[in-house]
Amino acid sequence: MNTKKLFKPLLAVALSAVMLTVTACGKDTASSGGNEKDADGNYKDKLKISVAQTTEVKDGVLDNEFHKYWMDKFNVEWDYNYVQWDSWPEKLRLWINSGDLPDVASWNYVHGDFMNYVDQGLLYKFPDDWKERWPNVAAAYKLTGLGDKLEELTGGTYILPKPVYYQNKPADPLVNQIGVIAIRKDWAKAVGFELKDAYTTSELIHYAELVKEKDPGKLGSKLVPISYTADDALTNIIMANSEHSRVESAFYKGEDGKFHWGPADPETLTGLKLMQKAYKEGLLNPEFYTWKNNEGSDNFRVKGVAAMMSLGGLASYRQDMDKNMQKNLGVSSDDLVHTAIVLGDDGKYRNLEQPNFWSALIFSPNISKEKFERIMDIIDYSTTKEGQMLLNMGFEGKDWKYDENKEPVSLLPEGTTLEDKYPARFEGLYILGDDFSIVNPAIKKEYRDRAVELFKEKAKLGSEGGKLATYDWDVQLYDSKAKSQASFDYQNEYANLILQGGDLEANWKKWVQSKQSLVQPVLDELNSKFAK
Amino acid sequence: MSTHAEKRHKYRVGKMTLLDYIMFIVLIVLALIILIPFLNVIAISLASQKEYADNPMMLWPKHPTLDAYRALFEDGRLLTGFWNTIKILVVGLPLSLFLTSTMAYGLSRNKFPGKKFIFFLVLFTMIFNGGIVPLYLVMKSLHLTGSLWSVILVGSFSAFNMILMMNYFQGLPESLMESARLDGAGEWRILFSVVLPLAAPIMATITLFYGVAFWNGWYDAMIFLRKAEMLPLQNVLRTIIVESSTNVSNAASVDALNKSGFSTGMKMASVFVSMVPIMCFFPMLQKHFAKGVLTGAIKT
Repeated sequence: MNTKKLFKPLLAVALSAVMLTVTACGKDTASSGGNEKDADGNYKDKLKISVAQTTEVKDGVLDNEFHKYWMDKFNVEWDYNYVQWDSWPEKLRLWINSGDLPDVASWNYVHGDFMNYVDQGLLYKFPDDWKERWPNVAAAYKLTGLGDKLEELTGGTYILPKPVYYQNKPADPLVNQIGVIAIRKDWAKAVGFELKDAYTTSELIHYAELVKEKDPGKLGSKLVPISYTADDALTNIIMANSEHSRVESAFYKGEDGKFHWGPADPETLTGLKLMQKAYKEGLLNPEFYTWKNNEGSDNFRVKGVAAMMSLGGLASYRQDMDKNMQKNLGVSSDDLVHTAIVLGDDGKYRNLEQPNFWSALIFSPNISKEKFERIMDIIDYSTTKEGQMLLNMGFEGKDWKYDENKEPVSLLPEGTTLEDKYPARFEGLYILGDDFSIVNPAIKKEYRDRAVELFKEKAKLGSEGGKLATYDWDVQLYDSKAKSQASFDYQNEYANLILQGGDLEANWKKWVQSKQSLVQPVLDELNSKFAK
Repeated sequence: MSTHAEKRHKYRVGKMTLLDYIMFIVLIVLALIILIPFLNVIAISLASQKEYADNPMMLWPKHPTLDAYRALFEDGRLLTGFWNTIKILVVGLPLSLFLTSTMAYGLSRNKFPGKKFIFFLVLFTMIFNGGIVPLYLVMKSLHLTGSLWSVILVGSFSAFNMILMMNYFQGLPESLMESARLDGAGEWRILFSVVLPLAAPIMATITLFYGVAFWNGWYDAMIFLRKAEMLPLQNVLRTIIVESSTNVSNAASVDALNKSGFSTGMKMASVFVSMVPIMCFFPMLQKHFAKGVLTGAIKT
């Protein structure tokens, strides 16, 4: 046999095999151990815990004081898995289905998938006594509402839905933050328009008409009286008049106990008529329906040519607007901006009741009892006031202190954020940052107070004669092919309707009719399952 | 002079005919259609948010700023991304060329046993894909998830490239190989000493194909990698863009607020940054490129 002839192919095969084996055979250093504590209350055994979150943890970040504190306190070594925002659903789906889920992971909850995963045993089932053993987690879990509903369906706990608000819930009932607009208050004064906390849709259209007529900013053709995208118009014109016009609440149970489709309600037509009026009068931009992302708000906060924009109700939005106006227009927004909520033309307040959860924590079905318990200990601590202050403000006395009014104040140098000092604080696994944003001194107090004021106003107007679209757990947790097929891009559908020639009411009726083949099967399903 | 020649002369202006001028204008218009969007990308990457909001179709900003590039490069992740992509490229490209050329050579030989069946298997993968979950399970069973090798190996063989190369090899005279065999050369020697030196155009083309695929690849890395510091350039750029346009309603709202910037500017800057290396690489292979694609595509 010619050994020379054999040498090269054998070498190639050997090299490939070496490459594969050298890289593939990583040591599994995951440790095993118990949760016993020593005399000082410290965990005796170190556990290596794999965690997957969307917070990016760069190389070396875990060496900082903040992360070390958590690792030392709970005697853990993190094996951190980074999930990019845009690949979050896909990556988690792959990990779950292939049995490769890290010990604990943040998952963007999808009800249909959840039920399948439970059926297939792909998620860890919590011990029955977990609520007694980790009472802080259980208290936050209770507030989400979803946890209890899922327990009814599955007979156990498989996920921890993350609470949006815990100790700092801004109002009760919790109403969606959408539906807050910003108007130019200097222009409002110039045209003699009264500043209020709530306006009807027609009042706002009147304000836009006044600004267009008197042009207080001397902008001529550049002026955009109402700078809404199609989605903004849906929120602030149509939803303000028809609470079931959006995708979140389109299918709802009426007073007759039967299910209905909101876009076919006459209130939706009222909203459409107002939207068409604003468009025909040139108050909405001629091409508003093509705008994406920030194009509507940029006219207000970057270019300074708009009289009104859709802002949303979070204090962080208001702070972002201020930052943008200072940077691009060189002005303080406090002198120019007034925020308010929008009422329907009948004076009633409409919005969506907001569920108090967003995404969830899931555990690997193969996780050891010790690791699960250690993670739950971490989560339990993170939900306490001490844990929340540590996560959001850093170390007391070093990064922050209480002032004479018992309000926390930052001790960080001007212009430095906690993220700069302690990047990627992923240890706040459970409670979302929205909760602390209500009291976070990093956001200007006036903005926080105004945001809470408007949340309270929404809750009050919504429950006292208003029309909040209730979060119907039956509909939300119902999953079927017909339901997914009857999900429409409502903002664009409505924009198309108001742009069409001819009579709007006739066009709307025709449109409603055209959707029936997809809508009716869903209504039939819901009526057969949940109607009275 | 014939009437035809007179007519031609009538439409001639200087050295160029009227048709030349028309073609010249059409080509200029076509070139502008390609160049203007490209220029617009560069202009936006150098513009401020306000200038972009005022005039999104600009060809050059009035007040150029490097803010978008500064924000991109201040983030150490970009350099890590470049480094990871280079690692993938340096290992992946030779491996791809080795795997592709060896298989193409084998299948291009008439006497190769089981040639038709093996070729059918290769072709089958072009038409029917196993899907991402089986691929993930294979990588998992090889303990390669979370390693750059998963990205390298998944991208290291393309059936399309192999067929192109195989067709090119089939066009080479069999007598060359036979004479090499008579001189005592084995198949490996024939491949490396006879076939590949004659296959420069197709090798250049396939190098470019694989190079661009590795450079622009993001999906495999997204699926298989688990650590931020392992992500290649395209994934890093995507993360930076997503972060810069993060809606401040998200969980860590205050932190997200501090990160948000002129997202379109950063997007365009990242497009430019990721394009430059390929733009530098392309002219070196261009002369072989057109020839390689054509010769490989036509079965002789």
